[in-house]
Amino acid sequence: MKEKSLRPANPNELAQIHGVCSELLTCRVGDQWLGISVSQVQEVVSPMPCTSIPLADTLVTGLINLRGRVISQLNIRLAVGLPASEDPHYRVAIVETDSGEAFGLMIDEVGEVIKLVAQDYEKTPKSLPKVWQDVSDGVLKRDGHVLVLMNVDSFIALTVAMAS
Amino acid sequence: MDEELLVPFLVECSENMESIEEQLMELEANPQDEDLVNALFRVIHTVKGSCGFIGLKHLEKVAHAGENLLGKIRSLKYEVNADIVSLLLDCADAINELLVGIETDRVEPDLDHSALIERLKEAERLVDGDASGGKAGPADGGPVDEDVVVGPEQWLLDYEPSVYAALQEKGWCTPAEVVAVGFALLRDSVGAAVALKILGVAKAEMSRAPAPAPEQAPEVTVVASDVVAVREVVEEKAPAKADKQLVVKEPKQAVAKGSAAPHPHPSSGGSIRVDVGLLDSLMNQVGELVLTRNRLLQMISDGGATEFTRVGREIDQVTERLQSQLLRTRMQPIKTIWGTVPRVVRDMCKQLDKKIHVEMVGEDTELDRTILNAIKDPLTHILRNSCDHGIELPARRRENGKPETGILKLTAAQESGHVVIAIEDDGAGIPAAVVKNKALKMGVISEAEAAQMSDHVALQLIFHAGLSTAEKVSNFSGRGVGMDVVRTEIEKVGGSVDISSKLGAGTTLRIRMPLTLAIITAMIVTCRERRFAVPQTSIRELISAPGSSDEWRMIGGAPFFRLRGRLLPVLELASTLRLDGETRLAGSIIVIDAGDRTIGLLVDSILGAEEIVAKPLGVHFQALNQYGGCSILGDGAVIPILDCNGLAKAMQQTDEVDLAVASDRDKEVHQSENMQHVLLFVHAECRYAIPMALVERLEKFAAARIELSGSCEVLQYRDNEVIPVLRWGEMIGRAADTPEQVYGIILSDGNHRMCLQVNDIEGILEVPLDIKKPVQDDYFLGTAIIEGKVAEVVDVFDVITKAVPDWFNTVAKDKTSRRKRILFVEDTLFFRNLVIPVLESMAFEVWTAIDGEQACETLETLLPDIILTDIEMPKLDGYGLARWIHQQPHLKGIPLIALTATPPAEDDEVRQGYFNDIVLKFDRHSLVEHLQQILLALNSKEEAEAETSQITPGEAE
Repeated sequence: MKEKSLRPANPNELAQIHGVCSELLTCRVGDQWLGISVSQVQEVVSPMPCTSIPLADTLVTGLINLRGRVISQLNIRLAVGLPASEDPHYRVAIVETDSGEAFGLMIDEVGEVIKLVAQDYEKTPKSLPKVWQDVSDGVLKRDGHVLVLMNVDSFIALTVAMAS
Repeated sequence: MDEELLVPFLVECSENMESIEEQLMELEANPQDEDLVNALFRVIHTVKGSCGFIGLKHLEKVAHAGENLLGKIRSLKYEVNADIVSLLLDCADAINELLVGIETDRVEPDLDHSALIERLKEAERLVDGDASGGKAGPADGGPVDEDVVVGPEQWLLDYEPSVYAALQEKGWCTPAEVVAVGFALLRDSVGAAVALKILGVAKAEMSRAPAPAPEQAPEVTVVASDVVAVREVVEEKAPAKADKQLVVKEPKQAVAKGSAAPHPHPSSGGSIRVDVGLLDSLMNQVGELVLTRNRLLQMISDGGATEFTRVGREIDQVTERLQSQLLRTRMQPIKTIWGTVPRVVRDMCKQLDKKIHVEMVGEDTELDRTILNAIKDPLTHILRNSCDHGIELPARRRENGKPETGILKLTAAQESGHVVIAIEDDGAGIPAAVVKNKALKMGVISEAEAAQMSDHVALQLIFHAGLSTAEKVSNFSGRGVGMDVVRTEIEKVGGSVDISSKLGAGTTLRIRMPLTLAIITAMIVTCRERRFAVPQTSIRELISAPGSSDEWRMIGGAPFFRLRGRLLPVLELASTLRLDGETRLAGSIIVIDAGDRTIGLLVDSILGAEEIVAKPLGVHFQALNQYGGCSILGDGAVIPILDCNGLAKAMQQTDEVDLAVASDRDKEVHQSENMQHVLLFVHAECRYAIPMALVERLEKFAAARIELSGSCEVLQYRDNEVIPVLRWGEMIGRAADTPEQVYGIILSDGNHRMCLQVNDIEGILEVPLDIKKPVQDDYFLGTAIIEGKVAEVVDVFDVITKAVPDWFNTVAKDKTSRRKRILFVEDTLFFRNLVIPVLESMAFEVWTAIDGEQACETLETLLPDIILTDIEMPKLDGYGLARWIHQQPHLKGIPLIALTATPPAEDDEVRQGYFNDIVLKFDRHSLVEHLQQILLALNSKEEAEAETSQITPGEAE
């Protein structure tokens, strides 16, 4: 297996990380916009009945039944230190890690799918909250705000560490 | 390296190598067997050949060294010894090691086998020297290479005639020709597996007699790496495979028929290889289908048209079949993991200087592959223990009059949805006392516990962490860890393990495993509005435990529930899972087996059993050992599956509590035997207790209602019935003033009624009625302490017989036949006194015995019509007695009824196996009823017999 560096030095490497298509699904968590490689996102679903598992960390909101597949649903807000949202109109992005396990990431809003443009790419700025730095492969400058390129595997690893 | 070729190569090699250990060991036993040497040679030769073709240099070297040695053995007809076999086994191990490395990393692992190769070469020289130095063999002593190309087709002789025929037909006879043809064409002609081998061999041959061949780009269909043979179909056979007889003979015919037909695949048989991942995912899909079907059926049963019902039923059946057949595809015979056993045992024998013969029974018993994988390690551990500690050294065995060679017997068999695997040795056995002592020393059990513990229970302590009885720590076992791990591993997949041992005769370990893990039966329970599934395999019984129950106890701050006299530690699911802060001792208790403990899991309610498809939980739940997985219910909701072992770990039992339980245990057991509902009444400042057995009801009435009828006092009762009245005070000669309102205790046995007038009632209690001071006085059984105060226990039957002398006789009046004889076996005086009058009232001739042993003695000489026995008894209990009775031919057909203090429970089936009937101890009515039924049956049988006996003489005349 090829080693993946967390912070790629140049856009070429970046494109490698995000797959050939280099398309990103954008979504919002709190005030932060994120970009997740579409190759890792299976679909985005509306809130589903979720069975919470007693004793599990609060950031794991529970298990959902996605057409017979049991998926752990994770609250990104809690993982990055934001308060839980009261809004019932959240969305769940179903992502898959390299290990093949699927997770449901709760997001506040889904944006458009954008192309990864190398010129917009920058290394993760130190000004970003630490937790975002840990799970990002860099940022994209968008008009007026930065889009964190989320590394799904790093994010899952972070939540697993927090949960246990 | 060619990736595409690599996969079939690996599959091929692992199939070949699978049988090699077995064959080597066979060779050790029969060194003259030339066929075996040939087979072995072919295997290694093929591996080597294929290596050369693919370019696995290192593997080729190792295989080559092995091949040379085998070649030498073959050509010189050398009789191998154990050392050479060991060396060849090492060689096979090295090859396997390399293959595994290649399979995982896709490159040849960098391992140093030069020493091994050197040893193999050394052995080769040794074989050579031995042969030339006297033994029969070629005189030249020089390297004899069997693979020298003699004729163009010589190199193909190792293959089946069909292959040979196919090649010859095509005119591909020499290695060069074959290589020139290339893989693709060759494959079409003889199949991929054989083509690969032939190509390999051909290339190897060519390198000996160099003749350059054009490099062809070989092409092969990709076969996934992790494969299982699909069940029930004939496997593709490599020539060297052990179960050769299964090879289909058809291909030969097909080839013989001629070339007009498109080239058939010689060994395609009826089987394909399927990726296990695909099977697993198929299994999942079917699991979902089962769930969806459940939902559909639910909807139909809630109200659907007939049409729907029919379609539903069909879907149900098809799903059922699909599921069961798919389950079978995942099954593998247990020999897949037993295959290594002879090797493991052999190696240990060599190291330990022991002689052990392995026997296997039921190798074809099938188990789900997940389960097979899970028990592989525990099984090896158990085997090692048996070899190391079980079977003695040959000298010791001789001393003990046993054959030098020990027997290690493995058996596997299916048993009601489970597979039972037994590992049996005829070794020294395990002394239970030593285990007990060790456990005592380690503080695992208390002295009191040790004293009570039966040998069988003590042996199970072996599975406790940190207990190993071996005096010497050896290489293989005895490090004090292991058996607890064995049990944990087995329990993890829903199995159980039990050990039994006979000193001097051997030890048997019995492992019970479910056939499959994918679909389990689980009890769905609720707790604080949440649903959980508890696997049925860990459930012993379910009990209702309302908050109002008297059986709740708090000891050392922990809740207990008294179940049949024992204190059951209770784990509240709600607080264990921190569902809420509230402690509520009410609901239902699931009695579960968790490790070596039995605990009660308190839930709010039990919804029922359901078949569920177990799925693993995600990575975020790895730390939570309270859960074993999850599933999807019929309504689509996800439900967690509880892991009883994990839950039990959450239960911190303090020493204090243990102590309380231990000290309580004796008392409680004792008490439960005597738990009785008694009516307490007071007369002239004395307390009296009367067992409720005969009490029909309690009446409060004006004393004036008691009338005189002749010389007797009577009471008009209910529907114009007139019943005799006895005044308690007068009976015991302590008359007291009668208050205006008095109580009448109405005693009845169904046929008669009488009223015992008393002045004041204290209440009805369920108390341990431990009669302290048996007395000979009339009307009394003795004295008991009830709620801290002394009470005289009334002997109701004495009272009745004294007062109404013909009470018990009337029943017998209409009986014309002889009195029936009943043997009543009961150890407690109290119950004897309680039941005997009942039996006498039914006109039985009653014989009594105070325990099973005495009953046996009686039965040796006397023959009763009915046997009525208690279950819990000293010396020989009810079961033991029943077993003994079943063995006595002269007692056949005598109805055997058990009297029990325990209400009908799940173990009733067990009990019913022993007894014709089970009657509750305190239920007088049902006892009478049951006995009457049996009497009826006996009478009609007698009448029938009497009739035949009347006829018979007539016929004889």
